[in-house]
Amino acid sequence: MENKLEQLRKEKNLNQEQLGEMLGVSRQTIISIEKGKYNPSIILAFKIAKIFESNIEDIFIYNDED
Amino acid sequence: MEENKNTKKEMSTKDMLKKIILRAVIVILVSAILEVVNIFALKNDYLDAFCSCLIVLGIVMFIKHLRIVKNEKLMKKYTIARQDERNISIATRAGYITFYFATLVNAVLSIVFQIKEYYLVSQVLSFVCCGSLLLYLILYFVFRNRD
Repeated sequence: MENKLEQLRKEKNLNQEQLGEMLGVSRQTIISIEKGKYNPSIILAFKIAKIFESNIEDIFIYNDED
Repeated sequence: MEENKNTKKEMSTKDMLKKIILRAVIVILVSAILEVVNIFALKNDYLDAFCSCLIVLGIVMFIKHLRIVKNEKLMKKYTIARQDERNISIATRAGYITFYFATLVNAVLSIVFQIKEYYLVSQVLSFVCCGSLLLYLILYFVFRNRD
């Protein structure tokens, strides 16, 4: 699944460590999500959407291949 | 509000760490008592090694978790590591792959030992194999009905 997390994080001037702390996850998890290697749970996706004041579907782009 | 939530999480981590420290102390005490009994009465080499290992394990557990409780930075890291969903998912995946291979190896070894005429070992391995599969099935149905 593709996502705009890296772009949104940079727009908010946050580093991966800071975002991880805000979400209660490790920096490695943020890296994996940004690279599209790990798909977050619905709860984490909601938390991310809340931080960036956006909708889940605006951050995470679902493809039929997923 | 967010800070309050984080403090609550760290509090629950602190409680959990205290429980782990208490468990470590219990492990050390029980092993030490068993070791003393073994030295003066039983004189069993296997028990001696087993108790020594448990004492070392208990001390390591005790020191590691005490360090985390006393250091706020380490506590924050530990809290994140504990609740990190990717970590949990990795541990779960590693767990079920380990279970799969352990059961497979047990089953194969049980047959090999049967052929080699080590009947007791073969029987024990079969029990372990069947027992773990049975437990898996029971837990599967319990979780399926509960969740």
